[in-house]
Amino acid sequence: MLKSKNKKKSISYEKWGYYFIAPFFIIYAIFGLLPMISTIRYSFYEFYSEGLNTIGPNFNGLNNYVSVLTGDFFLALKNTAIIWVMGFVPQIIVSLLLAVWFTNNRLKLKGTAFFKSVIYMPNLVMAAAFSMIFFMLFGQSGPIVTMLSSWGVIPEKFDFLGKVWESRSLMAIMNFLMWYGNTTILLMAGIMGIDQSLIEAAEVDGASSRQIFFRVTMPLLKPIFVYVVITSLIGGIQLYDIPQIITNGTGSPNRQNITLMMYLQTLIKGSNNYGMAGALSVLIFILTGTLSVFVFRSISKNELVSVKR
Amino acid sequence: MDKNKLYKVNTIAKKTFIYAFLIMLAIISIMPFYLLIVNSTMSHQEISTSYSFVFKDSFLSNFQKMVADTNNKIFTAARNSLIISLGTAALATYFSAATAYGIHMYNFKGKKAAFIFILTVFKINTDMA
Repeated sequence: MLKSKNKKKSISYEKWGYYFIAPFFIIYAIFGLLPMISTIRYSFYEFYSEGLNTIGPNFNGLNNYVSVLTGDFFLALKNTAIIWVMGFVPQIIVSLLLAVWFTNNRLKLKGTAFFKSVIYMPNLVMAAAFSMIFFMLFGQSGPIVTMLSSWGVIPEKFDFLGKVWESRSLMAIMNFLMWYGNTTILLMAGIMGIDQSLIEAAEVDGASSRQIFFRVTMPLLKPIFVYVVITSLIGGIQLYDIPQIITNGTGSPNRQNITLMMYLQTLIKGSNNYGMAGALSVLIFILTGTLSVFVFRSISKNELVSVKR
Repeated sequence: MDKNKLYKVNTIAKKTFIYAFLIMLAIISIMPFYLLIVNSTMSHQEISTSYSFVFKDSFLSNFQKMVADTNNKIFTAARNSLIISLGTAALATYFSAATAYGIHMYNFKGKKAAFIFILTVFKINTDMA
């Protein structure tokens, strides 16, 4: 910025900034905001089809919300949360370990480039293809069941997908495999952003590697760590394709594997119930929106966001 | 001297453990890819009735069937995907760059609010539509 005395006379080009950011807002308004507003609007309407007849849209207040909340909402929320936690806890532990190992100058691991790319690879397979492979591996006559039953660990023809906790663990494992590489790379970037001299100073002072991790690395990594946790939580709320394919869209056994997104899909697929689906979307939106606020706070605390010039 | 030796033994044990762990993860991570490729070499009958960890010999016939399928033309589909993804990439890069440039280079009213809005939107995925 020029800070000369004749500033008033100079022409200001600052307004041109609006033209630069306008396309984003126009596109967002058309493709993001309008559908969102119509979803919110329909969430207050009775609007579904019965056979070939379409009923509504008639305004019916909060009835949709009541029927969603008294329906499968809490069941789906619980299932989603369980599957997410089961996958995420091992994921974050393994990712932290790997990130610390890969960035450790003292260990001097060989072939880290190879391992880094290999652990990222499952993320490149489509979730659908991934689920199909697990479907094959853990099917009643699949290799894993055959192997384990020949060792006597499980009975013959053990049905992994027909049991609640077994199928949940399978999905958690799949989620874990698909995302731990991604998490590792994010955390590695976070650790590499930490000033190495701090870690070296701790080493010189005789801190053990465990002490270094808990007293130096973790506190400095916290903002990135929180970011990773909450983005993963938002992704977990939208868990859809893996359970959809593994359970054939039914959330079997006994609807104990139906996730929020699958519930949304059954509402639309079954009877085009846009009203209830809208209400459910609004609830999910409130959930993710709240979480996003936390993400934003954690980022701005880290001062990654510096808009000031 | 003695302490030094102990330290060395410790690091070697630690490194062995780390490598074993990494190799295990690598095998688990590559497994799906390997199985996908193996599956592509199995005939329809084999794939629906059994499983295999070794390569079979129906890859060529599978490939020929895929190319010859007139209902689902693979090359047309690939071309369509390519057009859409290239278009998306080009548009997204251009407009994102423009937005970033506008935010960074100019000082206008409501700039900070606009930036915060963009960040918020980018974190909430569009599950509403």
